Amino acid sequence: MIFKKNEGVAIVLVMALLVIGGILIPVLMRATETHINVAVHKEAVSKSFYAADSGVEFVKANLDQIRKINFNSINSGDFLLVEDDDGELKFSFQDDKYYIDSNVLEMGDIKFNISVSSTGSNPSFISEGNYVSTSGKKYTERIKFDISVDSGLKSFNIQEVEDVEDYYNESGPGNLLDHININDWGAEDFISFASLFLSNSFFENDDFVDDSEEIIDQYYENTDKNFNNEDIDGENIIIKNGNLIIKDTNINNSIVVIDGYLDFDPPSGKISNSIVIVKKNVTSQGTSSGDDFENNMFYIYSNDPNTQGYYLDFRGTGNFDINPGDLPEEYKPKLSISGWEQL
Amino acid sequence: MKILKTQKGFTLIEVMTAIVIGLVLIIAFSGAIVSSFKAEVRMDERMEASRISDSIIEQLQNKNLNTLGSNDIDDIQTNINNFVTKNLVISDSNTGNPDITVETDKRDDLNLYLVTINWSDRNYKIEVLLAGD
Repeated sequence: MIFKKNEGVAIVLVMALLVIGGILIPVLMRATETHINVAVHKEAVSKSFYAADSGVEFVKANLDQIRKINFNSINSGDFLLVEDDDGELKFSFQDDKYYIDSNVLEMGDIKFNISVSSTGSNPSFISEGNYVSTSGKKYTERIKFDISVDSGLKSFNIQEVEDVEDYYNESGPGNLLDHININDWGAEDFISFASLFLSNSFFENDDFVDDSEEIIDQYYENTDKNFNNEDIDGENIIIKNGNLIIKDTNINNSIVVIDGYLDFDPPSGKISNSIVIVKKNVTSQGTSSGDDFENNMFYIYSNDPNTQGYYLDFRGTGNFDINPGDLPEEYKPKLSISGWEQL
Repeated sequence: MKILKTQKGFTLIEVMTAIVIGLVLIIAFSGAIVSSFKAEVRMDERMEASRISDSIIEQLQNKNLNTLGSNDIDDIQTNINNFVTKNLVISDSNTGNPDITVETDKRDDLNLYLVTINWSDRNYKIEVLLAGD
């Protein structure tokens, strides 16, 4: 009878405590576990992000090497960073990826790879950073970025043949700035300047018709053209919206506007007393002497370097042999990282 | 008296039993509760370490790493301490037991620095490559 009157009092209390504890404790534990997971996740995302950013910085620190790459030769999906046989990082484009490892490069535990996203004169790349958390879960962050080639119209004038060759004989090819005139023009200037010549009304101007009423010759085509063994002399205007290759051809007293690159291929040809406006780059192969470029005014907009990575490349076989490595900084492409975007 | 007679002996046993069981439960639960709270504190500190480390990296990106000196680290420390409750000591060396050590290791052949940010008391470390100017 006594049990009946008292039974359940303590049991109820204990059971209530157990129920309350049984509910609250798992909830508290669960909340803590979630909090820990969130913290671990945020930390892992941050570290993988900075691993990807390290890839961008790595490229930024190696722009001088990247300058030598012909962007037109790379394909989307190619990888930028690979390891050579000596364990050194090289910029080449092979279907392979490379993770920087502390054992090889002493760069801590940072892991990233860089692949080509899109090609062209200003290609895009994706840096993929990876981090593995203590639980073994792999985190990946990606950053897309572009490598921009700085452009700006460079103009220069090569003096008369005797002065040029004497100058080079005396002071060597490394002092080009002392005897040529270099200025930077903006892209808008090139467009407005070139458009002057690209207008049909320009050819109706009497100022450009010579005394014998001969119509000025013009070459305006959509395809690349080679001038081979021709003689273009006197008040000609050559306008190309492609590339122009000149071989064994004399151009004199003319205006040449090229919406591409200009490639001289002497030995017997020369261009003189002319204005030459080039959008991409100027290359000379086998230049024999300075009079190949006697008294011209060159304007190079320079938005796309040649395969060696230069806007002006006058390597020749004669006295007028300018190593592009000796050119002023103004004639070397200036690369920069742009279009930074986290994917 | 009748009431006392009817309840003698069992109430004490019941109460004692309840107290003992309750204590056991509380002791058992308290360990989990305390551990949870400690874990929460550690995670908060770790997340704060992550945020502050990110901020340090951002500030380093705006500095010339080629000429980085103790004055630059002091600037970063001042900026950081403007928005944290505890005054943190940031240094580029372990001298003086700083809270945060910022080490920059330049690769000889590249204009590239391996930056390591190490927290002395929060078990947190992050590395990043930064290009010099």
